[in-house]
Amino acid sequence: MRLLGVLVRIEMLKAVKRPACWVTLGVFTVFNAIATLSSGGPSSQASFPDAWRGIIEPAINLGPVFLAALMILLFAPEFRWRTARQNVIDGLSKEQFYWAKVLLLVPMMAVFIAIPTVIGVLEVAPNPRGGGGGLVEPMDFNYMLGFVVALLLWGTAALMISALVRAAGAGLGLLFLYFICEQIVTQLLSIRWRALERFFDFLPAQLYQTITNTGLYYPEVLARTNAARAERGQDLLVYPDLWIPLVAATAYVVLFLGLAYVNMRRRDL
Amino acid sequence: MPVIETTELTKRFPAVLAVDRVSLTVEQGQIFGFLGPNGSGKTTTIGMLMGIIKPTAGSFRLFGAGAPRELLAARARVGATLETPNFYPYLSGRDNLRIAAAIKGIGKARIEECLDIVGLRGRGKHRFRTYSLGMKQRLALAATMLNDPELIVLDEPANGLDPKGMKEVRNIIRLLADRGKTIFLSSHLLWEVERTCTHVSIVRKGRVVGTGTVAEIVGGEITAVVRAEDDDLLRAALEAFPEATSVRASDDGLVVALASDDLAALNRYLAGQGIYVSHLARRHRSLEDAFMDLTGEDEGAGQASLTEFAS
Ligand SMILES: Nc1ncnc2c1ncn2[C@@H]1O[C@H](COP(=O)(O)OP(=O)(O)OP(=O)(O)O)[C@@H](O)[C@H]1O
Ligand SMILES: [Mg+2]
Repeated sequence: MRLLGVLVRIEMLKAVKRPACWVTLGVFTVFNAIATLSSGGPSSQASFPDAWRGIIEPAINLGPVFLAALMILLFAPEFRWRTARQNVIDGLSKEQFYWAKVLLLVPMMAVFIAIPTVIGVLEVAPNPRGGGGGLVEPMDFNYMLGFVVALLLWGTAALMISALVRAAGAGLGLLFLYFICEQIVTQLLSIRWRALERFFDFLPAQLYQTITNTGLYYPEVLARTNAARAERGQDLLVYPDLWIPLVAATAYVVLFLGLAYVNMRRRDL
Repeated sequence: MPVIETTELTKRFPAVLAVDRVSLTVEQGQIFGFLGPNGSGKTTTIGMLMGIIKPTAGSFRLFGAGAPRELLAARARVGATLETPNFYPYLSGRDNLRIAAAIKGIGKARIEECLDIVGLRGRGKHRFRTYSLGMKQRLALAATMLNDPELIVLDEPANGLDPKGMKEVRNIIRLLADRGKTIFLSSHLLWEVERTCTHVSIVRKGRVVGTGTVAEIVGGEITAVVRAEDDDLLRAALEAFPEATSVRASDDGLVVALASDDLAALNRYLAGQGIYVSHLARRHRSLEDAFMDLTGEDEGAGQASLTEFAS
């Protein structure tokens, strides 16, 4: 228990005083605010509980990416600075050093949930409460869950890449390059081999696209999209049950954490 | 129970055998110098002791602890630096110490104390990035002392320090040793080690090639060169000196081998005999001579000229 407190304390000290941390959060806040305000407007969604969708939509598309960048910035340089070494010399085990970074993911995720929520509430709160039952409807709740899983997916991918690459610049490059390349490569391949598409749906980047899509959570959004697609003669979108991509994404989270852990254990600092 | 005990400790990197079956024993209270040329495996050995490098073979114990869990606890009794000072460049010296102190479970007051000891109190609020090399070294030294450790491991502590800084480090080391601490330090600065250490181990290409007390390594013999007006009288007097084990002539004067290196006593004795010396100097094989003998052989001309330059 003392150890847990120590790990959280040292990580917060490292993060709070890091200018790059504040810059990342600042840029995210600005982007998120712009996206929220520009998509809002005088619609029926400008009051709770309907407003949730409009609050989460920009956040789920921006937040995970920014979180990943931030986690890489807070983890990878510790190898170049040799502070990972020093933390171990000072008394942590290599594993404890790694768990400190995993723990850091929790408050960082909280920040990435809090910022869009505050922006959204500030925008929506002046308006009167809309109809409907609770403050949060079941569908909104699923969307929130999807947001958390998306944050975890990118956050743990960032941890894994940091542990493997051990350099912030190279790590960031690799993360985004993979994200882009997966989509290009799978699209090219599935033109030839359509059967592969089902498998490609379970690759991390595609999975992220799926779990961030509003249509997965709100049937009426999916219906509207499909109506539009039908008019243009495009294929209709068919989503699997919500839990399938969410569970698959969670499996990646566990895999990423495990790979990072094994790597940290095996390699010298 | 030895403080450090390594048994056939070995580390093989893909390209080099950095540490080759090193067996060392460091007892409590020793100031143990770990000497070797560049790339001889000193840092790698210390890295293994500190748990950041996994040994390829062999084992070691700290305070008798060998298993991973015990070692983690044993390391709480150790303060160490490795190679360069490793700190967060964007944090102040004080904040850097706060992180180390949090890990070690040390309070605020001790941080200020340690900053004081190394003379960094006034600069504690400045970012580590802005420190000079010597200040970085001092901060590293402060970090090792935070938990008032029983064993202090220093990897080239004098690196980058000015003469005053070196003297301060030496004083700090002596002070700690007087309080019963064990010190394990690696260095190239042979005269520095010779002045400070009680025991040394010399490594070359990962192998220990000599180990023992400084006197044992150097070869023990303490000799003095003496000159006076009357050689015969001087010789007779020296041969009668109880501490003298042999007397022989040389170009510089008479060379007397002594059982102790108390030259003042010799001078007093000769004066008592009515002999006033015109020259009296200690002459002994330096640790550098021993080091070169043990590590030099095929190191090439570069090394030799470097030593000449140094001396
Ligand atoms: N991480 C590593 N990967 C590969 N080789 C390494 C690594 N670390 C050290 N070595 C090699 O191991 C050998 C010993 O290096 P080490 O740093 O232990 O020497 P050292 O005695 O501390 O030298 P110096 O006096 O220059 O500090 C060198 O040949 C070095 O190149
Ligand atoms: Mg070294």
